[in-house]
Amino acid sequence: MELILDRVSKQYQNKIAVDRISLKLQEGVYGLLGANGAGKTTLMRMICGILRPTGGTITFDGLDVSCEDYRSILGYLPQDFGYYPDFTGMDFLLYMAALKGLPKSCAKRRAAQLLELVDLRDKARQKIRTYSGGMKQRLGIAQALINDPKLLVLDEPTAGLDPKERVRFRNMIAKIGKENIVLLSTHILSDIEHIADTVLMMKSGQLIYQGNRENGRKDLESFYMEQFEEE
Amino acid sequence: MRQLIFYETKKLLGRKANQIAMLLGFLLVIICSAMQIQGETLTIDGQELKGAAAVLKQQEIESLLTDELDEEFLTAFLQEYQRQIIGNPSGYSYSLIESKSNLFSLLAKNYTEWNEHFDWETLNKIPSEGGLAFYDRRMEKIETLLNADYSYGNYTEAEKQYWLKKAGAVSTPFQWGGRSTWSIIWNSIGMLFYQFLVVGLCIAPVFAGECQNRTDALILSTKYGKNRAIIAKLLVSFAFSFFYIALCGLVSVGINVVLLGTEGWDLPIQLWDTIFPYEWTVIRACIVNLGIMILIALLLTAFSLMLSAISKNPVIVLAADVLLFFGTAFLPSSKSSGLWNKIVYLVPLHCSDLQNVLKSYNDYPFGNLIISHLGMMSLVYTLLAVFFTFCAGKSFQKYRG
Repeated sequence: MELILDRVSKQYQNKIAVDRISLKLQEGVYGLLGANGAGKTTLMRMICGILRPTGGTITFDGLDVSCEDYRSILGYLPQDFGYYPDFTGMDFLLYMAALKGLPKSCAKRRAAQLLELVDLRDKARQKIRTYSGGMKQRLGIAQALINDPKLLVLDEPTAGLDPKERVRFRNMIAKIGKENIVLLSTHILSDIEHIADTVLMMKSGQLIYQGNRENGRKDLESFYMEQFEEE
Repeated sequence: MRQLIFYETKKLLGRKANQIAMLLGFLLVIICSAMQIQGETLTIDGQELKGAAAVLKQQEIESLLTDELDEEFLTAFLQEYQRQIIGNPSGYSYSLIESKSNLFSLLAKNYTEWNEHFDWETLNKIPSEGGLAFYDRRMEKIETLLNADYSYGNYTEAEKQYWLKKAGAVSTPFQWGGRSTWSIIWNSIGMLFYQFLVVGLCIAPVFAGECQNRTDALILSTKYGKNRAIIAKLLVSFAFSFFYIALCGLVSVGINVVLLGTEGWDLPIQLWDTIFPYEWTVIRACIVNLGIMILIALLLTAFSLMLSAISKNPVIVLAADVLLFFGTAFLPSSKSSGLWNKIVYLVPLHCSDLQNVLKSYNDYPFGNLIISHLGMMSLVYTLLAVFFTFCAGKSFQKYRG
């Protein structure tokens, strides 16, 4: 299982959002760090096939990012995304399951499992407009997992979660990361410290750090702070 | 795919704004139908009848006149009127005309030039001594229309032959009966034009709403987000527009049929205007008119979907819909450019008025090939709808952040 980014770039008119990033990711949890505007979200959207790179290629086990099979192994939780207020939690998951090509019977079983996992089973038949911010975020996590993704891309996944939910979430991600590739973007260093095997750091569209969490932990914190201080 | 269609339908019909718009749309249909019937009046022996009673009474009186408009009957009918009107200083008597106004107006129109509005005084001027020659006059009027000198270009010989052949093939003498009920039904279908606002309002958020909800990125990252999801949205949107307009049409026709009955459904459309060049019954004309409404709704849907996929704001989509579908009705005709006029004839509001389309004798000649107004409208609208739909799908695939 290997996600390969080969000199991936994204340019908007005169602004280079992502600048020739090359990466090889295998099973494990990858924490993507960077200040606002560093290009994290743009990079993640390109990995998810939402944005087309202006240069370079992205492949997963030889599958190009633009093909349907690539997207079928993908789970994505965007930062700050919306829901359909008139859908129930169950409706939303079943809709996402249909978009991801799961058969109806399998989708129902999987949706029920995930609602249990994110502690929303009792609220499954309630309209999303009645959900709190944390409940919506948990529903978002559930939809990202509904197709058992081999590549899970999470943009600020712990935003809005209370401390207890955050711990549950970290454990869940750590477990998924043992057999799949999880790319996690966050501003919260403690999330990275607890679950990321590898840390990736971006600045001004470039990858400026890639290293093992355990080896570089002390260096990482100070290095990360240095980047912010410069700005 | 069925699941995606189910959830897209749920999104479209579940939106509160859409539900309110549809409810108001149906109310408008009911109000328009009721008002149209309520506006009818008829005075018989000094007693004024209103609404359905007036329509049904006129229907009854006129249907008893004859079964067929042969020359003998028409001549006798008009001579009787002309005898009664002698010495009347106003030149006509509405009290004599009122209960049989459909037949009198048909006579008056047939003897009025194609580019003039008829008035009741015409009835007194029609020469009836040696017989009316009603059907000869009909063809003469059509020939005058085709041979007239137009500043923006005249009919070619091929066009003239095309129309004369069509108009000449209409069976005569015309079958006659009470046509009051079906006049109201036909008019009520034309009033469905206002329902396009509802269609535009409901379709505008199909793609733009995903941007506003910030769910577009999520959809586009899924397996079927760039293909089947878009197809499902398109199918649901077109199905919605089709069924909504069809349902409005059925409600409108249904109300009239319940109140007025169905008598007269098989009458020829020439009872509305003798120069109509197609041999259709009025029920067929109503179905064609409803079909035109549905075709316009489908074009509007495709246009709205394209704008919805390009723009992030449903309000912009709705504003563009209003401009294109209602604003174009104010485009002026040209006195010098036939091409411009042919384009203007194709704007939706003009096309929705089938009675006007039928008597306009507008066509689109390509050498010896003549395409009728309805044929050209169907062709152009279908091509545009396909193009807009293609653009809608392609635009949504491109994430706009």
